Amino acid sequence: MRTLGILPLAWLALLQGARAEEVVASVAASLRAPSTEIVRRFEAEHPGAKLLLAFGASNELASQIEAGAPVEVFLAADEESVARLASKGLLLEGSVVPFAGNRLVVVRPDTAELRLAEPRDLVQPALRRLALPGEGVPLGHYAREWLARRGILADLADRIVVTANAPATLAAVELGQADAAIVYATDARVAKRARVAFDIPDAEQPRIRYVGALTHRAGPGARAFLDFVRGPGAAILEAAGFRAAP
Amino acid sequence: MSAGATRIRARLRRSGFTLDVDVGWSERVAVLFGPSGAGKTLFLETVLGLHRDAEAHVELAGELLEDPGRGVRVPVHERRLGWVPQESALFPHLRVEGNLRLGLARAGGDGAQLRRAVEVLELGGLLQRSVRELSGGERQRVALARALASDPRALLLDEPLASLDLPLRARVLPFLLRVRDELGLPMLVITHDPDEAIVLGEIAIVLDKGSVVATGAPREVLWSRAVLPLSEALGLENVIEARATAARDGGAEVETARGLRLVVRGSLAPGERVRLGVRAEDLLLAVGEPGRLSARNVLPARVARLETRGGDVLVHLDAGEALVARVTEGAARDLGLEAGAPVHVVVKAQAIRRLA
Amino acid sequence: MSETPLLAITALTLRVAAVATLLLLPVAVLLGFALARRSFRGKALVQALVALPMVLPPVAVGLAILLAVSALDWPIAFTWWGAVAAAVAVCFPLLVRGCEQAFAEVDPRYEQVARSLGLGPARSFLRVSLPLARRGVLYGALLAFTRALGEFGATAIVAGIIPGRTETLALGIYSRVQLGDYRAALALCIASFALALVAMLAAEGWLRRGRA
Repeated sequence: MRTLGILPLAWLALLQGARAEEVVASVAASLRAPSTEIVRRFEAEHPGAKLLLAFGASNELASQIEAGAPVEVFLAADEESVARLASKGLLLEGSVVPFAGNRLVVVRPDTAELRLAEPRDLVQPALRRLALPGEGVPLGHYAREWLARRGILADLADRIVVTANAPATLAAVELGQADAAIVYATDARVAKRARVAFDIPDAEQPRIRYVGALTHRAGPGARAFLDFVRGPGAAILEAAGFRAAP
Repeated sequence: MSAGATRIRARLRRSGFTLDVDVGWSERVAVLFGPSGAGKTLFLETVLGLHRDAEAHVELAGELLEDPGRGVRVPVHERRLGWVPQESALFPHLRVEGNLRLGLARAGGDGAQLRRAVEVLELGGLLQRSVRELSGGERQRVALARALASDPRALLLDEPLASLDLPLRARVLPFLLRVRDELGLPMLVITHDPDEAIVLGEIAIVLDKGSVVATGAPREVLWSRAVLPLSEALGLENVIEARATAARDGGAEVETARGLRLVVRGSLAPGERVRLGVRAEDLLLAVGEPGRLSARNVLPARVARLETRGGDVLVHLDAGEALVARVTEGAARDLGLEAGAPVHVVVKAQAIRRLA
Repeated sequence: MSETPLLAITALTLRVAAVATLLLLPVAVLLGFALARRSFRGKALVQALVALPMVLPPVAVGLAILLAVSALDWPIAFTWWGAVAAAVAVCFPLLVRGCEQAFAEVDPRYEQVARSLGLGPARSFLRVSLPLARRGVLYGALLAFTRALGEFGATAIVAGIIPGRTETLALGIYSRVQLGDYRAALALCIASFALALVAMLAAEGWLRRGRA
């Protein structure tokens, strides 16, 4: 009975839990690499503020916000996800701002011997698996747009390995689960066991636009964070290889 | 405490067994006697109120506990019955003292009942022991004390000695007798042992196959015609109360109130009171003066009457005390046994067991 | 990485599992006792309903909870209380079964004796049945706790995966795998392996100690 007696105490102890002024932000997975530095700098400049970042595919993050996730800031890799929330009245009016751009590159595993130097090499029979996120995911949408423009989307359709989001697409190549992938240039930069096979010329690049927005839950911390991403954050993003918003 | 009348009717069906009992008595201490499987425990549990499906009328020592006709059914925890189940069921998570204190739940107050029970059953030295460390005899004493601590209006004891071996029984029985004699509570004691029935009971109720087959004074009822068919399962006994007179031949000599002298094994202090048991089949009968025998007890007696049962004859004897011997029909015929015939009863000292 | 430190994720996981188990314990103990001791009409149905969350897909359980809390207007979706609710639902069968079994192993004789000594149903339960079933009940609680540590499907639906708020070890592993960050996922895997091992060792140790 003594053992049972301490349970209520344990109970109380567990319910305690000091909480700083927390800001929950849903962040496009492709922003994961630079966000460490952004968070560090932001929290240094705003003592007491604590950022909680949930990463994922922008379309999925939007679905979670729609389902009621207590998110204050949304940093998406496309305009569609944000527009969808805005059309449902889930965003603060006037809060939607573009803050960065990106480029696509084709990557391959470090060790592969396949010749992969130009778009037409993608359709060779020896290339059996091309990693891409689903069409709803911004990267999946951008990549398909380019493949369609090159007229090779149909040829590749049954060779596409569907991944969850941008970093997962790169990981598929790094783990040797795919012979090639189309990824953001910023993700390719941090690859360890994959390298860029070839770049895509500017003229063929889809228009990739990162957009930030606040939900109705947004407090002062959330506003400050979005401002920070647009302001001081721009330099950090640039250093990580992001472009200015197109 | 004077015991009021007891009247118990119980009908209860179990798979392949029906208990159907209607019995009453006014004595304070009743023994419920019968072979195993007779329904004794079921009967006791019905008195306790454990069987909700029983059709029961329970009036115990003048207190009405259950009467469906009058809509009375006192819940188990309000019946104030001190129960010692057969397996003693000491709470394994509590020490001896904890077991006894749980009995105080009802008695409450200053625990006078508890102190008295501890004293009568000599448990003072065991209070801090874990119940797992107790011997069989100690367990039964603790179970008895726990029942007493709860300030019961009556005691219900289910085979209180059955789980003990013979020497241990001899040690626990005196405690049982003390409880009976010093606390004055109405008691209902189950036993399948004739020694115990005779030693403990003022009245015996004999149960077989779920029904009462006889009631009456234990000494008489156990030899009665109705009980005879059970004798095989029971093992009929002679019970003799005596007082030690002197040490003799490495044993002791005892004498009953009516002057019957016997030699028994073991040492007894002169003046010590004992209860002795001898199985009916352990008595030898001799016609005429027997020659030199190894048996230490050769008692002149007279045949009171004969009773035939199955292949055997029960020979009721008067040897100063009433005794019963069991011989085969052929032996009875050869010896020419008949009422009034003089015989000698031969008993080895080893055949006499000390009951208490 | 900007993610919540491993220690914080582990602490949250422990907190969710512990609170869920503690909330569940009194209910499971009473229900387990009733199932072990009483026969009543619809008992089989109750037993089936109790077992249901164990055999349903956890995701379905999660959805059911999400719909229920929305209908009841309880603001626990996407909070750590949502994770607690998911763990409660999923661990309920385990703990009720554990308690039922623990009480079934207690000889009813002890309760009958307690009643004969004058203890009413409540006191007999608290002073005899429960202490005697203590070992089995706590073993069941530890099992439920361990199950709660690893709960994923229902939790993901009810609590979402919010780092620092609802991200338990299981959710953290999932989200890291989703992001292709297998290294970080592996670190969380090791932590949850260690946690589960310690909890199971504690449960088995407890079982042995109680038996000695």
